[in-house]
Amino acid sequence: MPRDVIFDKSVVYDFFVATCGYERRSSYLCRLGVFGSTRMAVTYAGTRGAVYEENLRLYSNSKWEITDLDNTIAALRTAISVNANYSIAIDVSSMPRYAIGRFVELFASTGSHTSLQVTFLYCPGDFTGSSLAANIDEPMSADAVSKYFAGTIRPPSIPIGLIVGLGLEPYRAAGIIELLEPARTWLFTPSQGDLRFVEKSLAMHHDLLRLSDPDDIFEYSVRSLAKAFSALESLCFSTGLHYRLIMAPSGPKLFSLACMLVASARDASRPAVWRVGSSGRFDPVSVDEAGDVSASVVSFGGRSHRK
Amino acid sequence: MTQASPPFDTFNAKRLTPIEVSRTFVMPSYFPSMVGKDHCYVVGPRGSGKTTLLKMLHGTSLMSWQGREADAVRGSVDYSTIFLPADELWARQSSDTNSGLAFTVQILYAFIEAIVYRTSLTDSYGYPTHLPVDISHDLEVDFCTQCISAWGVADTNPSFQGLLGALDLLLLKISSQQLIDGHPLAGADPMDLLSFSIRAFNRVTGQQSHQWALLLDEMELAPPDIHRAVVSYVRGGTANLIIKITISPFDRYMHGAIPVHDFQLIHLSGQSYREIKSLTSGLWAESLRARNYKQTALEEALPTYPSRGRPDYRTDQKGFLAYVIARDHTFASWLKGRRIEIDQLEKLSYNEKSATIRKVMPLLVFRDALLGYRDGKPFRRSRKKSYEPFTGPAPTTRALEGNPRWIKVAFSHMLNYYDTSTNTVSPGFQIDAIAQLANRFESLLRVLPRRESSAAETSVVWLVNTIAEYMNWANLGAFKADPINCFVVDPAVSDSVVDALSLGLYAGAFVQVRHRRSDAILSDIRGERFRLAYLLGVRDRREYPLRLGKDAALSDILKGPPASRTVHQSLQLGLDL
Repeated sequence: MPRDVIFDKSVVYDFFVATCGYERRSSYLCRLGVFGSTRMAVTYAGTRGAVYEENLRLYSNSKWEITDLDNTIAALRTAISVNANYSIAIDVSSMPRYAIGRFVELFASTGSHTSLQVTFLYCPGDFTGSSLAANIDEPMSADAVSKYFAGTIRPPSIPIGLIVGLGLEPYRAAGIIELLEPARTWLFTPSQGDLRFVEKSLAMHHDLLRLSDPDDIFEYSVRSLAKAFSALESLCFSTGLHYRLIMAPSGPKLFSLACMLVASARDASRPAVWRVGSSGRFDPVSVDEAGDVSASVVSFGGRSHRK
Repeated sequence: MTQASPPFDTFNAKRLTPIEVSRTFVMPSYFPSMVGKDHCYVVGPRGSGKTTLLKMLHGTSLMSWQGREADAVRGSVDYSTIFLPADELWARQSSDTNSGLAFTVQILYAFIEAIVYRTSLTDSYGYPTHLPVDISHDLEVDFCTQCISAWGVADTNPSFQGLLGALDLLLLKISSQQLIDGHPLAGADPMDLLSFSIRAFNRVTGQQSHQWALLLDEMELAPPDIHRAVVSYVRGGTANLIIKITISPFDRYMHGAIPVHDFQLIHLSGQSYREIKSLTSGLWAESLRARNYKQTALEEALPTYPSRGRPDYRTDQKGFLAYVIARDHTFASWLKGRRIEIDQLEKLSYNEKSATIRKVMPLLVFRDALLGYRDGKPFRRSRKKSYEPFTGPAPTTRALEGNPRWIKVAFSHMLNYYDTSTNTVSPGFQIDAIAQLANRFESLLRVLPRRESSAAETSVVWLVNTIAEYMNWANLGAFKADPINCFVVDPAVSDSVVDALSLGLYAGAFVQVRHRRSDAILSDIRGERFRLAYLLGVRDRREYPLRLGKDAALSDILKGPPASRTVHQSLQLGLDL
């Protein structure tokens, strides 16, 4: 269960992971001057353009190690195996969902035999950039985030229940509902934070929301991992027996992280976590940080996994 | 402000209970062939009613069906059904290493579910069981013990519930990759194992010759080795098990068995107009019944757009032709080239008239609805377009293609504006419903994601719109009696376009124009002939006639109109400002 904490930039972590990407906010914590004994800025294939070069220079000048995901995962695994009490911070703001999935899988599998605490950080984007970035009109693809998040195989006579996180992306929710043909859909709409974000998201999905049963619409805070986790966990607990659950988060990465944490905690009936995104090349749009940072501490291990 | 039509998903049979499916079922003409005791492939795109057809063979649907034909069909289904749905989640959870085993376990699970149904007096809705069977506790133990041994699920309580629990646990182990390679189910042929289990059950119940049907929904989602197992069974399986599958029009692995010889084949796309009309009329009647409206035939309920100050082609053919000749010099030239005199139409033989005047009449109406003329040359009107070619019973029926989901959505929208004093839907509301449906279908094409493994850069919507704009151009230029309205996928078409085309085919945006030598199920799109779904031809500035036409090579279409178009286009697309 995540616990929301106040972000303190003076804390020195043993291992700090951030993203060197094309969004300006991906270097926000670097610019804030966060501390870490080991600081890794991860680059991802296909995430060049926009302010990538600027971010790269910034990370290099600030003495961060620029590396790729596999190296980072390997280094983390080694570090954890040496000392499970390492303090770890992961900034998920500009991180691709499959990468967030790799980290969660690593921590969850490590946490099954030892206790581990990880601080997840999230820098919300500013409205204008987020809005522009979400409106890229491209062919889309959809699939499980990874094999780990493909979900437990259960008899197909059990109907599909789909949990959709609504963001600013205009087509993704409708697309994933059409593709998966769920028997029941629950919608999570953003609340709190920048009101423009909330209003635009509600307006964009007006028809979908209007045609949905009000009992199947939930709100989540874009600033609180603990609250999003709690709402999702409760829903999965109450419906998991009757539905093959799929979580398809679009919108803020914080919600995606919450979905993956909920799924990773359930061994015997793991819901699937899917990503829906652009399948082709697109012009990257830089998103600036809104300015605040959400922080949550997640304990892996030291608790029984849910069935 | 118009009311929005319901989402496509509302009428998706996947989310309906068997009772709901049977309550709204309108029996298509091909259903009796499907019900027969042969293996059967039902081929169609999304929304074409495949799942409904399979679900109607489920015991609960059969027993709760109240339709006119219900008793006769119920009486002819003397086999028990095992319904195995598939969906995208199921497909994506399969991997090369686990797909065969997972499929086997799922089939056996569905089989035990079917047994639980048959051994109950009533189903969970209170309807009597279809083909019930009485089994004592001792015989249940006997049968389950045989299954426990054959399936390698030791330490299982010998009961139906015990078997279901054991199979569920196996699925969990498959998910977490804990199942050891040497498990008896790992190397077994799923169809052989099911046949064995059926024989065992038939033996203990004393029904040695009882037949079962395995209903496999959305076969295209299953991995290749499952396709091979099913095809192999269809070619030479045992007598106690028949297979009925639904499948998309395009599938790379479903070949080997021979239609008619090995299985019945039912294509839901490209049905004859008569069949489509029968289904559409039935669903119209069903829609009226659901709203407690007086039954009115579709032909009376959907009046066509009135002719705008010109002779009506239905009642005054000669007057209409004279009207067009006076305006469209390109048509006048065409007539002249064939030495057809408007004043001497009576002298044409029936066949001559069919091959000329009758053939071009729908095209003339289409052109008249969209074109203005300046100095006898056609140009595209920017305003005051007429919806005559897209309203009324026949165009509505054609546009909806016999696709039950489209029909239900469109009729639901139309009936929001049903005038109960005249029992009609005005042409304006008809076109509203169809156009809104077309736009929503376009939205669906825009959002329907591919699997990541087949991600490509050509979007289905781009492909659809490029072809539609070409067809629009081809039909609105200088008059031709047989303009292009179909395309052939030639060798120059890129793989990326072929991928987009197959996704569009699956969604129902493209329809294969089949010929005698066409494969039962397309495994290669190249060389085949297609048309756009007629529904997409009602969209503004992308209109094309709702009928077949000549072919063009797709690679030519994708290059844009030929050079000669420049001249014509300026004529067509000029605005009457």
